[in-house]
Amino acid sequence: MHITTRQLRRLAADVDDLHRNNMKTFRTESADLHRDLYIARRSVAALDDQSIAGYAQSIELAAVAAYTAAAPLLTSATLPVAELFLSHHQQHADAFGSVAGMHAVTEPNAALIAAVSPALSALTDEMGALEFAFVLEGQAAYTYAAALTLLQDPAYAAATSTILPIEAQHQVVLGLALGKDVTAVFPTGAFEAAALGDGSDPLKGLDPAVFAA
Amino acid sequence: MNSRDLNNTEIHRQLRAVDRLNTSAMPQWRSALQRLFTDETITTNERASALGVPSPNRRDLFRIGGASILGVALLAACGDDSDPAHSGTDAPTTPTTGAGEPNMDIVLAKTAASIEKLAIDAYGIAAGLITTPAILAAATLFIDHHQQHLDALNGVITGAGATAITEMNQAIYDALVAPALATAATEADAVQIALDLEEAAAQTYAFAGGTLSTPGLRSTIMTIGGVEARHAAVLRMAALAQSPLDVFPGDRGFFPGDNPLAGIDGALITT
Repeated sequence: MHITTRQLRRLAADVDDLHRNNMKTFRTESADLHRDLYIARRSVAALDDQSIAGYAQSIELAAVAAYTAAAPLLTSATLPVAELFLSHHQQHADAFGSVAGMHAVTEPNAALIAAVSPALSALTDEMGALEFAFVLEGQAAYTYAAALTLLQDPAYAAATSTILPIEAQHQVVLGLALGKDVTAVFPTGAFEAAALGDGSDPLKGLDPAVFAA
Repeated sequence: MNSRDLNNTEIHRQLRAVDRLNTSAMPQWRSALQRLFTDETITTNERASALGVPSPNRRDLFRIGGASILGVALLAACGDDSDPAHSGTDAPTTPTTGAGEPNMDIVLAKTAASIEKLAIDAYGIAAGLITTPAILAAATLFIDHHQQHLDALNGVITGAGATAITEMNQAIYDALVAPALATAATEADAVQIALDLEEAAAQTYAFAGGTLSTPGLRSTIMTIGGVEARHAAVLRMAALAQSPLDVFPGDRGFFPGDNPLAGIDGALITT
């Protein structure tokens, strides 16, 4: 069977359609890739140790604000624990602030507060409040594991290394208080995660590219 | 079949097949690229190699063409010629002296590995005293974690050209574990031994987190240290029935970061 000029043109048109369709996808995929790469590069390249400390301080202050907001839902059994954790986060904020230089902050991370406000406002009971805190504590621990990949000064890393385990232990305490089984208080298994996300993934830290001012 | 004998149906079929291949390949391509450029452990040279680019140097762009162009364009857009942030590896390198230097990296990695092996062995011994199924299940989970930590640390150690650790830390065993095991008679005794080991391990990691020479190593070690601290919290609350407040002795908001092995001769694995 021979191919005619008309058939060839139709086939060429088909190829062109396929090409256009795929280029539509390619464009979307490339845009996504470009955005993700931008975020990744911004996270890694733009932050020095002091700005990381300032960012960590803002996250800690946001945790203080979150515990404060959730406190009215807690019973006398869990309130002292929450108050202890709140005091820890204030201590962490103070520690990070003391080495953040010009990047030190006085207010909680506004982007994180905005992101969690709907969930905080929707809390109606103690279990919900504890679950909210459970996720936040894990994300804090993962944020510090990620921060350690960036911190250049060993002194900053040393300080962060004394804070990360406390956040991890907070999450364990909250998880056990929630009645979770032992496996569930190791949400990322045998290793803390060091990945960053936009806050929607409980198994990733809080990406400064998303939450930094 | 020659070029004048193309079957229309066959060509359509082939085109559809190409389209399916393309459609299925694009997400994988994107995923691979994303990993290539967001994984900090991949150097520019490795990225170049993966993309089929003969050189990561932007100035070599004119020497290549075809399929490599996109790779070079991505490297040019996203990478640095020198890539100082990734100029080395996270594996410890040439031994020198002192904390924060590469030889200390090997010492700490080996010491940490030997503590992981000690934890595995100690849990194995202490398990004989554990009768509560839930505690035994937790111990089994923790042994698995410690084995994964040991494997990861040995990966770092052998990656640096040193020999993997296969024996427990004898000095720590002799100083801390053996005396406790000698008098252990109950499940609570066994759990206390495990707790002491977990807290010592977590503190060792917190110390290493400020001592190792590269950010990558410091982060890696603390992805383990955080889990050891979790182990300790579980043992206190679930196995010893302690209060949540007891997880933080003295209400501490910072995990101890000084070297817990400083007073134990031979605890640091220097050979």
